[in-house]
Amino acid sequence: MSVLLEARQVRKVFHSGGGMWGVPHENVAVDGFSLRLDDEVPAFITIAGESGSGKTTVARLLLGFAEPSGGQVLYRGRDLRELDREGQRQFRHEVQAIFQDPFEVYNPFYKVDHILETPISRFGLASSAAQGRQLIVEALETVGLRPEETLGRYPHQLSGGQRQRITIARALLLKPRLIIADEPVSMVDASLRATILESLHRLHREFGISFLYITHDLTTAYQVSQRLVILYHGTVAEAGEVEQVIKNPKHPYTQELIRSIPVPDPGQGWIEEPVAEKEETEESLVAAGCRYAPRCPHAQPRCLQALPPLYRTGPERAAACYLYDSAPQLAGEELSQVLEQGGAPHP
Amino acid sequence: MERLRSFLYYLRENPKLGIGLGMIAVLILFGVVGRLLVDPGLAQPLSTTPRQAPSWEHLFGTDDAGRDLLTVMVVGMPLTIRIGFLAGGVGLGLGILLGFVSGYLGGKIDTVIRGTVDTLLTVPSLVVLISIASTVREEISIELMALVVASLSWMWPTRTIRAQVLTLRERAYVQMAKLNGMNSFEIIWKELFPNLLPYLAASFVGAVSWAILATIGLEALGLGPQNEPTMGMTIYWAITFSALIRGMWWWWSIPIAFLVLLFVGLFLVAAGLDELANPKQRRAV
Amino acid sequence: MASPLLEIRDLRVHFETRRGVARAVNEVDLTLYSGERFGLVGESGSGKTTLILALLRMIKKPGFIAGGKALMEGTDLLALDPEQVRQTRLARVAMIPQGAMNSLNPVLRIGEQLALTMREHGQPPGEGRLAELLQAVGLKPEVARRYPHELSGGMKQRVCIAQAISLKPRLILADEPTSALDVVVQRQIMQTLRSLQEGLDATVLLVGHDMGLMAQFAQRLGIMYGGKLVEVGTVEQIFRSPQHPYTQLLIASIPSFEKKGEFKGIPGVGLSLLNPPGGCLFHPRCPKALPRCASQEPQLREVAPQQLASCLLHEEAQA
Repeated sequence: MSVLLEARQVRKVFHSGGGMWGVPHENVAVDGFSLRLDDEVPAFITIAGESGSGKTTVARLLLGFAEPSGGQVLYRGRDLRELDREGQRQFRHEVQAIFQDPFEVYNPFYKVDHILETPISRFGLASSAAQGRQLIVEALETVGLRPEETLGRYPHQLSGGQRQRITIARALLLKPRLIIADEPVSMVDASLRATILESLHRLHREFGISFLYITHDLTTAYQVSQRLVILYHGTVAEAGEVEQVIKNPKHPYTQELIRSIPVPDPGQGWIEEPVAEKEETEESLVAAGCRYAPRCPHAQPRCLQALPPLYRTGPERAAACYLYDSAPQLAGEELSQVLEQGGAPHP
Repeated sequence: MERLRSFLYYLRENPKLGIGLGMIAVLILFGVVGRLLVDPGLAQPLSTTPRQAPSWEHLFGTDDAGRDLLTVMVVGMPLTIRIGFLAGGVGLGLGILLGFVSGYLGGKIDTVIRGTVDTLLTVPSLVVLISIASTVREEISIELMALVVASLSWMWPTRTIRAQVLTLRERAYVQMAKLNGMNSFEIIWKELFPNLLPYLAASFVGAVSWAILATIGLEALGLGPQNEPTMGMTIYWAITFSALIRGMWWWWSIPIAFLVLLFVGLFLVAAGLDELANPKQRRAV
Repeated sequence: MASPLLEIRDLRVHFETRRGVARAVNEVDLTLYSGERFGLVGESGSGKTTLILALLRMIKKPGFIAGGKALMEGTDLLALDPEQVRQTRLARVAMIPQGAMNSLNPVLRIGEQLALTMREHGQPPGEGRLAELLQAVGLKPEVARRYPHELSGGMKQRVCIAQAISLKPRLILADEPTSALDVVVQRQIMQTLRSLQEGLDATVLLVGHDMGLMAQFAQRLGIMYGGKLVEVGTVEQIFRSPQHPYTQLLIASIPSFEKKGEFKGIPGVGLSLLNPPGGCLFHPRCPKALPRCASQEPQLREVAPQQLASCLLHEEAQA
């Protein structure tokens, strides 16, 4: 198995404060995170978490926009920081991204064509202007847009949904192996979300592109992906096959998360339940133990002392919780074992 | 052509910019057209009857040395404006180079540039200018004047441009550019620079205003080009020859009036450009 | 049967731009009853936020209220003068704005802030009242001594709710109060809001686009599209038997844990308020459009007991 992109025990710490007056403050955004993305079998993996979970930081680390404080990010076996120009070019060609804000990704000075023409010229995807134009037209049509309605316009003249789809068309032009999509639909209207998610799903099915879908919305994660990784304060709480994790969550955090999702069915759901007693105070950062322990109803003394390892509770899932210490342990780097599927992509 | 039309349309929305540009255009035209209508020789001393109040023959009167003040204005206004634009341009050019590099690249380069700028900013510029000007007093020309003023006008643009670049550096479209494999210089030139054009234009106007003010200050103290009839030199002569006490009101009030018009025009242009640079305005439906 | 609290009739809010007039809120009729939880649903550009800003008289140029009435307990909110508006805000009609966490004054302690607004309405609170208020929203009384930056997002939002209920208003307008919060905190806050609302017997108008949240919180729903109210009904009616094609597509597009791999979006592009289609605003995207939908505007009428929809298909059926 050849590995396209890998995070190996990655740790990212942000420092703030310090200076003359402030107390230096350390924020461990990501700790001991490992993930392997295979080159041959396309996968659709979701990294889910709330704000502060570290999911965006993971995306930035994997894209090389930030450097890890510990551990490594490897592209085809080579550390991102050590890539030469040609290696970097290859990396950028094979690993692309879609971002959350469909407005900010456009330079307001240029027409939207700019965002499509730049990759063609930079990566030499076409031998003539006409061919380049043809590629653009095809890409736009693949994502369900009409070129005559979108090209030649400025970003503010198009809707959020159209702009986001153009960024997907752009990613498609490069025919990457992997697309990291960071909250691609959270700023898009509800009615268009399904269409955009469907485009992503199609790209996966028809073009064999792997996706790393970053979101806080478990329902959309359930719809599109096969595997799920739940992050809590920079560590993996639970991971595995999406159907199992959602329908039968093991980690107390996952359980609370799923319980809190508002069900679009009047009469069902949490509104009738009594208000929980435990008010969320500012998260006191637990240096050593399980990050969720302060909020966890099942917390034991050992939860505060040492971070629980991942326990493999099933062939296709794992949870980092002492409740499951009877299950075999999984080392961090082996997380990918529960994230690989044994067959063709989900239809 | 399309851009020009929408620009003119925009001026209707932004009267400050329109009026300001208009005022400066009028002043420049005054110099250009005026040149065709008067004999520039009359701006030199001993060219006509001195100490005349404004009349049909001498619309702005004459000064103590026999210069026709209308001609002085026609010749001198463009000179003053030229010094301003030259000094402002050099100052801004340097500011752009250092500001972009410092803001985008960060790190040691940023520390060095920022440190230098902050240190030089604390130096009282007028004192330095006076020292420099009084040293080179004998051979000073218009261009040298501009250079002297420019030497201290680049720091503020560097600082403000750097600040603007810092806000743009983390924008998503810069990340997009990185995803396209662009290197730092390409990003600065192709992605950041065009977006800062309105801001740079406003900075330019600010630099020009400062430069003109500094020049007039130096000239009024007598440190300017002695033989050129610039605004500042005219004021210097008026002070030296006690025009105020002697009741020769036309000698000092007319240059001041012209300068007021110039500065109001520059101010309106700067305010108008400020409005243009404000992103909220640009995104309006 | 509860009595009507707020009767909005023919509300029109227009925005004048270089390229024409945008009808952000277009002839909206709506009645809110005392003590109910009403959800106003719509996507961006639907006019839902503009509507509540109009009620609070917070519309800024180039927008203006072009017409209509909003009668609440005998007074027309849209006809009040500025001083009356000031008195009405918070005391009778309170708002919990979106991003409310950023509307707390960073240099004032929480207690000071709550007391300040109450004092301005002539009801200065004692310490006891402040403690009571904070506890009502699930915060400890010590929070009164803290500054906003010391609190988490959820706690700040609770403070905003405390401020909104501090003068016991009759109507609370909540504009997506939990959109920036985590799902778990969201649940807690909405549960708190509900118990507060029941305790005060106040009416809550919740504006948003999260249908799941609406299903959990609201008793009745109104669906807005392009500035018009296209359907109104109880939450069961809207989810189980929506009558307007837009509502039907909206409900079908909601993702859930029951439908894996199914993606049902609404085709077409959102409408432009500056260049709206003729006739029914939704007809270009409507799978059930009739030829005359392009020229005839439908009216909001009762299509089932307590359920209103604005669609020519129903006029056909009734004809």
